[in-house]
Amino acid sequence: MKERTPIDEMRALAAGSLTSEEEGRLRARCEADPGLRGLLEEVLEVFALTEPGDVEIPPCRLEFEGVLGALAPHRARRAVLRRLLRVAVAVLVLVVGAFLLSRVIPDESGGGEAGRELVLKAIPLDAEEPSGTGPEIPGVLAGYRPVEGNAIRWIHSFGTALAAARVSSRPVLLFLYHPTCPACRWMEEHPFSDPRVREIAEHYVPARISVLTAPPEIRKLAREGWPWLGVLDPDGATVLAFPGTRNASGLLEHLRKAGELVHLRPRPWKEVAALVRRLAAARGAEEEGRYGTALAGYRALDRENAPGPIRAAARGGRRRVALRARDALLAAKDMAETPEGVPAAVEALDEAIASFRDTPFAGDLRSVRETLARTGRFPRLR
Amino acid sequence: MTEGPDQKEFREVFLAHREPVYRLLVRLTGNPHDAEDLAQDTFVTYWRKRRQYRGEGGLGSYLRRIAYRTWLNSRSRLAARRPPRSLACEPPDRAASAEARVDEADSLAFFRRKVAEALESLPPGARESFLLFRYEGLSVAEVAEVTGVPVRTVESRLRRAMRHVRERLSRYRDRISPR
Repeated sequence: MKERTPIDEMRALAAGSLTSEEEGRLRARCEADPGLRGLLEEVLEVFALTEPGDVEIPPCRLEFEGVLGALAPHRARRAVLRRLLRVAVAVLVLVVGAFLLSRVIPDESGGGEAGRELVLKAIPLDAEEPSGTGPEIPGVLAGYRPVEGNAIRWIHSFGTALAAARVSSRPVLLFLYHPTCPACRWMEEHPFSDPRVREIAEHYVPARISVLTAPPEIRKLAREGWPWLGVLDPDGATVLAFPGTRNASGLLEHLRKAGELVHLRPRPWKEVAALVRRLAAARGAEEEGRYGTALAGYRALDRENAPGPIRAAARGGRRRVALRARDALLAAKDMAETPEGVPAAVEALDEAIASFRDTPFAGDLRSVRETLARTGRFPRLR
Repeated sequence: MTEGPDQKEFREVFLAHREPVYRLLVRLTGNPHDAEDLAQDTFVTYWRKRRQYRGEGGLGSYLRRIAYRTWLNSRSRLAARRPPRSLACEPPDRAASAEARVDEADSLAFFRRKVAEALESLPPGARESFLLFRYEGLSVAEVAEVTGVPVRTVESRLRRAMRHVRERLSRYRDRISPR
């Protein structure tokens, strides 16, 4: 309840709404306080002189519809403001988005300012070094024929034999021997010198492996004695084993039987030699730092219907070239760690650009080189 | 067009408080047309700011506060468009003849005009407090709430107003005795 002041009570007295007790108290207070007494007289007189009817108030003509009408412009204004706000928010979002994009995407020339990220288009920044060197295609296969003159041209490495088998799509004729084994020597001198055996050997990759140097999984084939003879498929699985000494007829019989068991479409040795020579040329160019030539050679072999090992080797070559481009980039980055090293880094990048000419990596190297030369800072790479 | 729940509620508020708001504004402005304009502004303001109203002091008191603020903010605008008092309030036939004025002195209309003049001559603040207290029946505390000043300020304004009105009207005390 709100506090009732003396003036409130005086008005109530003037209106005759005070009880006699209240009036008595009020008058007693006024008697005690001359200021209040004067005020009481004034209030009573003013209330006698004035009355609510002093001002004639005509009826209110204001209607609810009039208020609604007055609200309409306000509502329209609010709607316009809301639309403007939406547009402003959209513009703000666009501006912020464009700003953020400009922070992470370099311009088309690759000349993002220092501190900006430069998105590499070809060089694989996060690629891992291959764990192995990939399938090696022996260079000897560049001019290989299983029979030359009157002799079988034995391959003395099981790995090379298997690679040759895969490239030429032929089975391996494996001859495991021991250097001190007379029977083994007899086999070489007699049945394998037979013209009929030499002729059929054209359809195989002949491998003469010493049990002393053979890999363990091969050596164990001959655990019961030497010579050990057999036919393996290009994956190294035994198709037919015929250990012990055989004369030419017996050998021919087994070889024909093995031929029936192996279903391969042999690739002409001439074609194999050409593919191997091309692969070797690409590898040679890679080793000499002529990456454009190397990459073109690898690409061509990868795209052609080359034998699996050739294509795998070509892909390995492509991967190596990409990694060399990355190495060149990171080496330049290391050089540019200090301001003094920037010129050397630019020079190194120039050399790398020349080495990787005609490769997709040259573009990345050039972008980095231009940014580095212009800003003096190595760009962040992505 | 159908009326939404908000609009229905607004209509009810308007119908319940139109008269007191309008009457207060007539007292403050002395002009029914201005009062209607300001009453309209008052309800528009209430509707725009209805979410700020927390129910404190009652809706009538809240609307009176808005009306009072609306009037305060519009005083200069209303004064600019109001014609000079001599033209507005002084009918030529009344001003023309001293004899007519003497006749009028006995009339209630004459006395009411004197009351209006006395109220008009009250100092700012005291006039509004007096109008609300005497004619709108608000207590001192309510006047303080509407005008946004402390209770003691209202009290002192009312004292000043009582003295002023008494001085201006007491000379007519005998003449208005029949009322």
